[in-house]
Amino acid sequence: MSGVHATRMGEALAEVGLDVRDLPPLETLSSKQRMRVMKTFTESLGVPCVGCHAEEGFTADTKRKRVAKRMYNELVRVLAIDDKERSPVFCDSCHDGTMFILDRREKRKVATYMAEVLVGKLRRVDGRDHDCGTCHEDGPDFRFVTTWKSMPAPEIDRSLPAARVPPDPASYTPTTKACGQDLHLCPLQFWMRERVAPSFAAGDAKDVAVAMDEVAKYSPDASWKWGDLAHGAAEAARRGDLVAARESCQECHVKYKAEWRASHRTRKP
Amino acid sequence: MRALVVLLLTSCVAASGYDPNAKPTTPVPSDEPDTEPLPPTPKAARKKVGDPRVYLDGGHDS
Repeated sequence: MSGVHATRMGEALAEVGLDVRDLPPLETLSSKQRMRVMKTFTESLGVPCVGCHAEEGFTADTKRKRVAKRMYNELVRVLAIDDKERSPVFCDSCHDGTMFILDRREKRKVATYMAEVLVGKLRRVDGRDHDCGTCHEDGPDFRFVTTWKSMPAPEIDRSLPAARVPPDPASYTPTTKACGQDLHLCPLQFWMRERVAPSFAAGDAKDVAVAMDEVAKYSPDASWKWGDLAHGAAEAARRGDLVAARESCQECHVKYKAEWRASHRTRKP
Repeated sequence: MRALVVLLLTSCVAASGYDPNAKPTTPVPSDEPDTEPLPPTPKAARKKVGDPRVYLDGGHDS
C-alpha cells in the first residue's frame, strides 16, 4: 500500500446522483445520498458505523464525526489526482481501507511522505496552488485533526465569502507544480517541508529556533520585515512558546506569501 | 561470495516485511475516546463558513 489513487467509489456515489468530481457539502445531501455516502466512508476506512458514531445514538456529535465531516467537506471536495484526467479522489484514495494511515512517530518520514504524495501527487480542483496549507491552513496547524476534534464541524454556506481568498489571478498564476523538479515543489516549499515542518510537528522548539534563524537569511528584499518576523519566531521558540512562533510564521505568510509566489518562487534558500 | 551476501541481505529484508516504498502505517491510538457522545451544539451557535473551493476565475461551478 503506497501513495494515493483515483477513487473507486465513483459508481456507488453516481447511483444516488452524486458526481464524485463535484460533491456537494455533506449537510446538503438528501437522506438517501447521505446513507450511501456513509457506506462509502465505512468501506473506505474499514470501520463499522460505530467507528465514528456513538453507540448510544447515531445523531450525537462525536470527535470522529467532526473529523469525517471536515475531511469530506474541506479536503475530499477540494482535491483531485494530479494527472491528465484530474482523476477524482475520495476517502479511499488515501485511506484505502484503513482509518489511520500515517505513522507520526518519525516526523521527517511523514513530512517527506506528505511532500511526495499528499502534495506531489494531488492538486486542487479549483486551480489554486495545492500545498501544505490545503490541509494545515496557513498557521500552519500541524495538529489540525486534533483541532477539528475540539470544536463542532462548521457547515459550508456557499453564500458566504471564503475564509481564505486566493490572490488576484490577474497578478498571480499558480505554478507550484512547475518550478520544482523531482517533487514538483518550489525550492523554499521543499525546504520548509524538510527542515521546518518536522521540527514544529515534533514540538522540538530548540530546532525550530535554529530553523527560524536560518529562514531570516532568505528574505528576498531588505525592505520586507521577513527577517524580523523569522527572528521573532526564533526568539519565541527559544522561550519554548511554539504558539507564538507559529503566529510569527503566519504573519509572514499573510504578508508575503502571494508576493513571494508571484516574484520569487524559483529562488533557492 | 558478494552475490551470496546480497542474496542473504535481500532475503532478510524481504523476510522482515520491510518495504521502503510503503506508506507509513500507524498504531491505532485506541485510548482516545473519539466516539463518545458530545453535547449537542445549539443551532444558533453552529458555525457556517464559505466554501473552501474558491475557483480562481470566479464562481463555484466554473
